[in-house]
Order: sequence, then structure tokens, then C-alpha cells
Amino acid sequence: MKKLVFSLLVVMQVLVAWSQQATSIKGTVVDSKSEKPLQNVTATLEGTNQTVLTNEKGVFIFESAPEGSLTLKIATTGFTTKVLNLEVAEGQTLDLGVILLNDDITTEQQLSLVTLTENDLGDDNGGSESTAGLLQASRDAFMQAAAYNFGQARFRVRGLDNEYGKTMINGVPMDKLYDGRPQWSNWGGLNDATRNQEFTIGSDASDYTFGSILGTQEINTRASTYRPGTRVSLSGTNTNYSWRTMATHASGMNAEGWAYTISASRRWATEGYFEGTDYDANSFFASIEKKINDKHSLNFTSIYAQNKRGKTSPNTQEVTNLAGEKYNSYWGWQNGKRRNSRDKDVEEPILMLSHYWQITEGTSLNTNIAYQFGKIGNSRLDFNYTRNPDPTYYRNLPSYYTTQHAFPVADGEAAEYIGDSPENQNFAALAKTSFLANKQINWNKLYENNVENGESLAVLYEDRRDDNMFTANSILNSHLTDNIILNAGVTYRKLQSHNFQNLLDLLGGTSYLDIDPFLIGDARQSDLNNPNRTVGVNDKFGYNYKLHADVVDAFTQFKFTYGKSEFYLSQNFSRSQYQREGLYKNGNYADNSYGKSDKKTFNNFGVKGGYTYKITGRHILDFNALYMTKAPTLRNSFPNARLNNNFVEGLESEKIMGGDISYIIRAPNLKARFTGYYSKITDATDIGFYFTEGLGVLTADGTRISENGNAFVSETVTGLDRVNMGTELSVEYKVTSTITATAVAAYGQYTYDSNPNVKLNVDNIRSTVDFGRSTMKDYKQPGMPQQAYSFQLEYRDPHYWWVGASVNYLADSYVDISPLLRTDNFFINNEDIDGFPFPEATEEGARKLLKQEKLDPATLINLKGGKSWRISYGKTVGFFVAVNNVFDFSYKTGGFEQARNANYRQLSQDLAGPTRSFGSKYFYGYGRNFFVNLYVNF
Amino acid sequence: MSISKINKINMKTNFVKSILIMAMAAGSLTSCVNDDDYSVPTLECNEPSITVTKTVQEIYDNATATATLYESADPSNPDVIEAVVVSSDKGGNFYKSLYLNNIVTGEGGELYAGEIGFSVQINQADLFTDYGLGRKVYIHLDGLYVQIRSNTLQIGALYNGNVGQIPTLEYQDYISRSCTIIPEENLINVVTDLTAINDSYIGRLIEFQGVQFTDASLNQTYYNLDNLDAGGQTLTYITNSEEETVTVPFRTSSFADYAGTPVSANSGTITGILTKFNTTYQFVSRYEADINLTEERIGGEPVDPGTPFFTEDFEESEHNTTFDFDGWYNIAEAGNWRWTEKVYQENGYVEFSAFNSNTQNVVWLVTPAFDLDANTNVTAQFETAQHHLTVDGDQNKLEVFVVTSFDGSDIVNATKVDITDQVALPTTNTDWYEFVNSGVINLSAYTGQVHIAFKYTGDGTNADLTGAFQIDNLVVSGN
Repeated sequence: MKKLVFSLLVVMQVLVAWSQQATSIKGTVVDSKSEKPLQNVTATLEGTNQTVLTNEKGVFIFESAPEGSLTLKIATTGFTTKVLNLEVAEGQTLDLGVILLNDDITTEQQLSLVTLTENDLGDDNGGSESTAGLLQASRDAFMQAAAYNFGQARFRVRGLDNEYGKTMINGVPMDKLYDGRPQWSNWGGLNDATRNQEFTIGSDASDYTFGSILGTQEINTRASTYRPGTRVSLSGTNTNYSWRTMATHASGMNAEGWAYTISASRRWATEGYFEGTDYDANSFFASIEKKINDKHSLNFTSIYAQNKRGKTSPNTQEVTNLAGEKYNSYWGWQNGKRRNSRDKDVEEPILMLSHYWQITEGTSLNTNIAYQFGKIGNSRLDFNYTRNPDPTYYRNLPSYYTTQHAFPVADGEAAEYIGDSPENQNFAALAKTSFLANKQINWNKLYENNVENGESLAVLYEDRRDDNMFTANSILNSHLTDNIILNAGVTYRKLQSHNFQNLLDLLGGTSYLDIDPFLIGDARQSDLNNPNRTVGVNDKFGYNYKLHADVVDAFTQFKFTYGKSEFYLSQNFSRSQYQREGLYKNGNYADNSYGKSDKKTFNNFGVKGGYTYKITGRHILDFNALYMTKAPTLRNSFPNARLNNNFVEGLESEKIMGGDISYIIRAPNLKARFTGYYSKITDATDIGFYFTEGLGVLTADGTRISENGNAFVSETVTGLDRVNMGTELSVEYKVTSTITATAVAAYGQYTYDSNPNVKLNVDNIRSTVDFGRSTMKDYKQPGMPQQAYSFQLEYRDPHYWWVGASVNYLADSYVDISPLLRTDNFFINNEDIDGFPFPEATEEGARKLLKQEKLDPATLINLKGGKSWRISYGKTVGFFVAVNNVFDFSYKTGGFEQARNANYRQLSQDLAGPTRSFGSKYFYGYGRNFFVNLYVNF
Repeated sequence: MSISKINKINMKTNFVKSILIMAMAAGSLTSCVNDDDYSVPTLECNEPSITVTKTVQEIYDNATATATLYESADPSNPDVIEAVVVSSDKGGNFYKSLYLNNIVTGEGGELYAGEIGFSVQINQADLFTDYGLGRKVYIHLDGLYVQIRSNTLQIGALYNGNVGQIPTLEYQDYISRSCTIIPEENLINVVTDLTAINDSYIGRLIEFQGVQFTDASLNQTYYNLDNLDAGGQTLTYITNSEEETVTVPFRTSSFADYAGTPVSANSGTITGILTKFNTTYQFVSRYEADINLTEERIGGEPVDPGTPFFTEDFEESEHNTTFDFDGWYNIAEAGNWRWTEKVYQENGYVEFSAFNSNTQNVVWLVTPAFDLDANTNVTAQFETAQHHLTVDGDQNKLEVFVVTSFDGSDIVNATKVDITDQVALPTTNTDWYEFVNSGVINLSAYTGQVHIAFKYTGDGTNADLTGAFQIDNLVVSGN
């Protein structure tokens, strides 16, 4: 008889069994609560490459286990992982008997997380999404804290954008070629159906892709991998939606080899946390698998998630002070209903056929064909023929008057501040009263004007992107020897992305004239092939073009396991080809807007490797390093895609270099990880659109952009480098068998590391103007806290209830800086004939004006807990409750400088009054919020 | 039944059951969300209960050339006038200003625009969305200023001693909307005889019938960057005959929706508001639809500029010498100085500047004679520029004449026609040294030996009157 050592990770009962003849290990895995056997549980003998799944009776068998000290890990989604330390002698059959797995009731909190990831306030201001969505099901204590506790404050792991991660469904990449980010709403609300996930952190090896430096997430929807059963749940929250219902049923594999899983959910709100944000989402999922024989299986997955919701406005400090943090300027009353002018409407079904081929015992090939189509629409008002209907338009606010300056005096001298004159003080007070009385969109006025005028002066439209994406890929996994695993894959993606303005509502008018009335002559025409066209509902107008992309991506990876050492080496090659096809002949760009552009091709490669050394079973060292190049996204390839075929001048692939070192402790009562990381991304390109004032003399021949320096521009920043470095620390300590304390710390420094080039594309002079270098080096990267700390206590009662509380501190979050403000243009006096610098400009003054704003730190207290009951055999009910930000702490999660005051004088003038007119706009975090979920499993 | 069949049936029932559950979960609670189907709001208009106490006529009669604060005789019963909006800034040609008329009632009780036009300036764009064409409004006079300026009654706030814009945040308190909208045909005054135009038409909506743009106005866009007046706008000219004996200036701003449209050569009707700037009338259309020129041109197609038979580009000039080209006349009527040859950056031209002359200057530059009998359909064009011009007034200006009888020395008493009005010239608003094209000048009405004369007026004793004019690139063409 040999001794069986087991760990005290959770409340666990292990039946001891012992040897007979051959070296084999078997066991039966059963749900401790429902007492049902658990299918598709993975049992892994760590350090041996051996992994088996349990069958429908919950039984797993390792036929030829090595002898000696072994660590057996039994894990499956929704249950706490069990780790058993075994001593196996040669020729022994070790029957572990019934192994009870406890429901991991804390995984219920995964279901509350979706409320954070969809909060893409920053649609127009890319990159303000937190990485929480990528991390939600990771079992790493640090990643859990990052998702559940820091995510609400838009924490990003290692300060990296989602663009540097990779999300896949069945190995099919889900990141959009447009911006490199996944569209979470494509499977939003289907939490049950997307629970089978695998993660890697940083550049660590994934079996499915080469990845990048943030990490990978692979969602598995193969029907037979779902545990049979039915689950129905109802949730209530006060975040971006109010209610959610969800039901999921998985059949398990029947004798004829069929298995299916279906799921549906609905989420809705008439008004979410922020004013006027309605929410309406329906999601359906079906996956069906036919096992043809032991070697071949076919699986068909279809996902249809439709999501329509009202967005909320970022606001200046002035507006928030007047109207509150929940204020949203995008909506107004219409016939007693709140109507939001900025809806986001996503409907992009996914169809996927997967073939699983077990070529030999150690080699499998997974081949997928996927097709995704549908639309993303972002609505807004177009008001070419009337006043700006935005209630927060700068002329409507008190600051317009309190920042007034006298007309410029002779010879370019600075103007006198008159914002404090009795007249302006009076106007400011009037403006305040007027704004508070009219702080929502006046739909009635828009209708009235359109009806009275006949032709619409303003209309509601959507910026539409209708993508057709075809993907084919194959992923090979082969155990070449006992020590070597080969992963390889090739993916082909073909995208046709149709972009246009789609008219949604004439708002009482009869038609809408499709010209740009701010220009003169032919330049006014959006399409010279159809000049002076009037359009109606569901007509395209304004701009209309297609983007074509062809991307091939291949990788190979070798993983080696020798005793205490594990290492891997991966390489990757990709080829991306982009082309624009204009469907309109724009009057401003008559000779380069219609028809197809040149094709631009990018060849990229990458190489990475990693090494894990197990000092002992409990102390592990881990190293990873990566170098790769990455094609610019479609979004960043065209400076003015809406209007012309031009590519960004000097467009280059990004270069990414990164690495991390970790020390990991896995003791029975203590789990800890200490990681240091560094990454450098060079030659990035970034494009933004906005309206600016005060541009100085510009073109080579001295032409001014416009008389007063005002212009609507697209800004192209090239040669931008970023450096991200920092440390991650997590310590999870079991104080008693029921109490766990977790401490997590993230300390990062994310900065810009170059002075990139800034070019503006200005429509009214039809040219691109080079502003030279922007002194951005050493400014902080915006949009996330660079420091985050969390301390959490969790109590899990043996009687299936648990509570947890955490205190979190997030600091060093910075406002997004405007590159244009940091070019030489900032000092050029646009009112001076010779373009001399402003006489009043000083270096000290500029330093003050251009100092990056640091947001206040946030302290968030979160509480959560849950309980479940067994009703009868196989049936459980339970609930989960989370209350986040219990003390209703008010905090900004991000913000961005408005580039409207593009020079020293205008910026100084804007700062002269008590409140800025064009101050930064901010996003706010949720105040006290809750999530309650009731569920039944049967 | 085989096991697999049972399995299949179970699977089927399970499948149906689960579909039902899904439907329950997803479909049952759809009613409580905004469906984003919004019906047109009920647009009710509530007539404000406002009593009119004064007529526009009474206000007009009491107004003077000085801006005066209006104060009601009885402050507890403040004075109100009613009026109808006849202008529109929808097309962008009007900006931050409204023209209104008094309202008169016809026999059948229908409402018409009356005979007094006045203007209100408001610091707000897109005023037509508040006060659209034909909208009856009530104006609360207390607190506003009243003044007669440019022969027009103006009502507004005080700005630098004159009536100016009513502030953005206050105009709606002063001007209330009625629900009544008077149809456009009741606002329009038809005018067929351009000579009938007088000050009584100022501020009213007028439809000129049987008119067209003058020959010199053609071959450009309504707004022409190279042909701007002191206000930064382009003046073209409306006429009603081939002879162009009567012309009315037509003003177009860069913001007009028809700014980039070429000036039509056809004839027809032109609608707009008559305004007066200093002493000259200016006719201002509201939008492109006001220019309704669909008939054939009066007098047939405009003159073809033809082929040049006389050109002078002044490239032979010797810098800073008195102008003495063969066949030309350089005559001082007042003062001793005469036109000077100039060369700047290899471009020759002639210039007169009164600067440092310490006297009054009236100086003529007369071309050689052109034979209009040997050449038909003769047109002329030239370029002029200015620098240091600080006033657009009679004391410092350039005038252009067609001289039909000239003895070669006495230009003052020569027979000549003033065509300054038909010619585009630089103004104080034009950038210094920027040459402005004159436009095509039609000389086909003249016969015999004809000269063109340029008359400079300036005063070296007053720094504000020493502006210089430059002339270049004269081209005379014909068939």
C-alpha cells in the first residue's frame, strides 16, 4: 500500500484506493451537490503531457502513467479545481474512486462581468475599453482581481490595448481587421454557452495561435464538451442594463453520436446607470455535433447576438458640475419617451463549421470554416442645415461668456480678458439658467423645423459598417514524442467591409439634400456621379466605400518538457493586403475618391519563446520573450477613408518587443505570483477625427487652412512608440480552510517613447499638412490606472454559501493628450502675417498649459456573495449578489483633451476664466451598483 | 424500440422542451423596452396672448438717426408691435439679420406684408428656424433701441452707439412667435420697372420680373474671390435691358448656397430684399431658388469677348519714372504729380500714390484711341490693385470712364461716360497689391474713336487719403 498525499486546497473528500497490477490511474468525478457524474472534466498529470477527459459516467483512466511522484489536476469550468499529489509504484493500478468536485459558486461572478466590458463609451475615442472581457474566466488570482475589481475602473493588464490580445472561438480569430479588437457584443449575453475557455497570459504559448503580448482567450463551443443539463437564470442590475434572462440546455452525446447545446438570453433596460441609456439585446446560440466515428467529428456553431443600446456622452467638468455625473447630452424627450440620438446597434451573426480529426492517438487536426456577416451602426444627428442641436454646444454654456476676450488689438498682440465684465457675467448666468432648462435634445424643435421647412434640416442617421468576413483555418496538435508537442496553424481571412452613412429618420421632413453646404461649388457634392441628390429613409449618403482585406497567418510552435524544465519556441508569418474601393466620387476629391485604390501589402513575422523551471513542485520560475511585427489595422491605414483612396504616407508595420519574468509559488495554502514585464511597441500609427480652431499658417506656399484657422480635420500620427513596464504581484493565502485572503498589486509605467509625426488632412483645402514632430515622448499613456492594489477576504462555508469583500485602490490614470497641441503650430500666431510666434508665449507658460492631467485616485469597496441549494437529485438553485463601489465613490475612469484650441493663445484664453470652454471631456465610473443573479440547474 | 430510437425520441422531446424554455427566457419580456420606433410628435402651436399696442408706422415715425432706447409710456403696459418676417437666412446669404414688414389685412381678412420694411440684428445663426419666412412675430420694445440707419428702421440692442445685434440669450424674450404664417405670395412685391425702385422698397421682399445680369457680371460665379467689395462680398448687377441703362447691385456672400454657381446669362425673375448701403441700393436674394432665370437673354447672347486688338501689359516700364508710353495721356487735373511707371518682381505696371504729395491730387490716365467702327462687339478688361487705401470714399478713389470725344489735352471737359459702377475695383478690403480683374466691359454701344480713362482722386495732406492705385494688363478685344 502506498501513501496518497492530498492537498487541502478546498474542502475536499478523497477516497483512498490502492494498487493491483499495471501502472494506471482511474477515478470517477461527481458533482458534490447534485451527485451527478461530470462529463468532459479534464484530468491532467502535470509535467507528463498526459490529459484525459471523463466520459458520460464521469470516469477517467490514465492507461500508462509513469511511476513516482505525480500531481493530478482535475478541472472543469464552474467547479473548483482539485489537485492531488500521488505516489505511484510500477505496475500499480490506482483507483481513486469517487472524486467529488465542488461547484465553484464564485464563478457566478463571471456573469456579472459582462456589464463592464460592453461599456464602450469611447467608441469615437478608441482604446478606452478595459481588458476585463479577455480575463474574466482566468484562474490566475491577479487576472481575477484585474477583471472583477479593477475592470470597472478600466484597468488594462500591462497597460495594453485589446488589440495586443487574441480572442478566438474554436481557434477562429474574432478580432476585427478594422481595429484589431474583438467585438464582445457578437456573443454578449451568452455567458453559459461561452464558458469553456482557455487562457494564456502575456506572450505565453497557446495551442491555437501565435498571439501577441497581452494574452489569448480561446472559447470552445464544441457541443459535446458541454456538461449535459439545463440552466435558467434571471438577473437584475443597475449598470448598463436592468434585467437579464438566460436559458441554456446541453444534451450531451447520445448513442448515435449526436450532441447539441442551445442557449438564449435577453437583456434590457429602459434606462441604465447613465441617463437616457436604453438597452435591448437578444442572443441565441446553437451548437450541434455529430461524431462520425472515433476519428472524425463535425460541429456546427451558430451565434446570433443582436444588441441595441443608447450611449452616454463624455462631459467636460463644467457640464458635470452643472448637470451631474450621470448626465447624458445625447437624449431628449419625444412623445413622453426618452430618445437617445446615439444608439449603437450591433448584429453580426457567426456561422462556423468545425471538423475534428483525431489522426492518431497523439495527433489531431481541427479545421474550421467560418462566415460572419451583418452590421454595426452608430447613430447620430446630422444637421447640415440648422443649428447644432447638442445641448452642450460650447456657445450654450456659461464658459463661452466667462472665457471671452476683446477683439485682438493691432499687430498680433494678445487680447484683453473680458470674461469677468458685468455683461459677460450676466450672460453667463443667463446661459446657466438656459442650459439647465434645455439640457436635453429638443426633438420637438427638430421636428417642427423640418415640418415647417419641408426638406429636412436635420436628420438621424447611422455610420454603418457591414462586414462580410470569411475565415478558414486549420490547427494541428501533435505529440511528436513524450517530450515534444507541435502546434501549427494556418488561417486565411477575407474581409469586405462596406461603410456608409445610412439615413434612419427624416424627423418629420420629406427628404434630405446630400451636399456639404459648408463648401462651395463642386466640392459640396458627396457624389459627383449623382449631384444634388435628395435622400430618404434607408438611403445611403455622405460617404460610401468598401474596404477589402486579405490576411494569411501561419504559425508553428514546439513545446518541450524535460523533467523540471519546460520550454517552447514559436514562429509566425503573416501577410496582409488592404484596398479601398470608393463608391462615391466626392466633389472635394474628384480624382481619387471613386473606384479602387492601390493595394498595400504588409509581410510580417514573429518569434517567441519561453522557459519554465520548476525549482520544486511549489516554486517555479518562468520566462517569456517575443519579437514580432504587426500590420497596421485597416482603421489606421487610411487617413480619410470616408472621402478618398489615400493611404497614410509612410505607413509601416508596428514592431513589438516584449517579455516577462515570473516567480510562482504553488503551496497548499499559499499561491503567489511575482512578475516583471517590459514591452516596447514602435512605429505605431493612429488616426483621429475632430474639429479644431486656431491653426496657424500651414502649407508650404503659405496658404492658411482657413481664414480663422478653424477646420474639421483628420489627424494622422505616425512613428509613435510606447513603452510599458511594471510588476504584477498576487498572493492568495488560505487563512483557514474556509477563509482566503488575496492581495494583488499592479505597478506600471506606461509612456510614449517617441516624438511622432503629426499630419492633418484638411478637407477644405484638399490637402494633407505636415505639422512635424509632436513632443509626446515621456507623456503617460492614457485611459487606465497605472497603479492598482486590491485586498480581498473571502469566506466559503461548507454549506454552499460564500461571501467576499475587497478594497481596491486605483491610481495614476491620465488624460489622453492631443498630439497636435504638442507640435510647433502651438506657438505660431495664426493672426500674424508672417506667422511669427505669439509674443506672450513663454516656455514656462507652455509647460503649464501642456501639462498632462492626472486623474484622482479611486478607492472602491466591493462586496459579493452567493448560496446554492440542492432541491432534489440533479437539481440545484442558487443566487449570486455583488455590490460594487459600496460607498458610491465618485471617480473618473478616463478623459481626453479637446484639440479645439490648437495654439498657445487660444488655450491660454480658454483657461483665463473660472471654467474652461473646451476643457477635457471625461468618462465616469459607476457609483454604487449591484448585480443579482438567481439560477436553477436541472 | 431500439435504445437508439428511444434516445432519439428523448432527444427530440428534450430539444422541444429546451426550445420552449429559450423562448420563455428570451421572448416573454419584450414589452418594456424602447423599441426605437418614434412617432412624429404632436406639434401643437399655442398662440401667445399678447396685445399689440403700437404699429410699425408709429415706431418708424418716431425714430431718428440716433439710436434711442425705447421706453413705453406706461411701463406696466409695455409696448408691442406685430410684424411679419420676409427675409430668410436659410440659404446663408443673410446672416444674423432679419427683415420684417408691418402687417396689413386685405378685404377678405387675409394678411399681407405692408409697406414698411425694417431690420433686426440678432447674434444667432440659422434664425429661420426660429423666425421662418412669413412668420408673424411680436416684438416687445422696452429695452431695445430704435434708429434710422441707411434709410432703414433698425431695432436691436445698442452696440458702439448704434443699433446692433440682440444677444443670443435674450432675443427670444424680445421677439415672440405667433402661430400665424403668412404665405409667401402675400409677402412679395412685383417690380417690372427697375427705375421705379426707391427708398420705400427698402427692407421689403421684391420680385424683379424681366431682368438679367449685366454682361460684365457674367463669366464668374455669384461669389467670386477675385471680385469682393469692402464687406467681403461679391457685387454683380441686375439690369432689365440690353443697353443696361439701369442697374441694381446684387450682393452675394461666400456662405450663400449659390455662391459657387456661375452667374446665369438668362433672363427671368430675381427675388430678394432691397437694402441700401450708404447711398447705393443692394439687392440680396435669400437662396438659389430666388434666382429664377429661365428665359432667353434680353438682346440675345452676351458679347463674345472676341480677339484682342489692343493689349498693354506695361512690361516696358522703367521703375519710378513718370509714365510716358506712346499714345497714352498722363494728365494732372489737381496737384503736380502724375502716374508713375513701376516694376516689382519683374512685373511692370503704372501706379499713382498721393503719399507725400502734400496736396490734393486728381490725375488722369487715358488710353490711346480705339476704333470702334473698325472693330465690332468691342469689350475691354484690365486689372487694378491698391495699397494703403484706408477709406472707400469719394476723397480717395479710382474711377473709370469711356471717353467718346477727346482733344488730346482737356480731359476734364471731354465727353465721357462714367462706367465705374460696371467695373470691379479693389477696395480697402482687398489685400494690398492684389490685382483685381475688372470683369468684361462691354463697349459695343459706342462708336467712333473711343478712349478709356482712369481718374485717381487722393489727398497728400491727409494720411487717410493717400491710398495708391495700380493698373495693369489692359486688353481690348473685338471681332
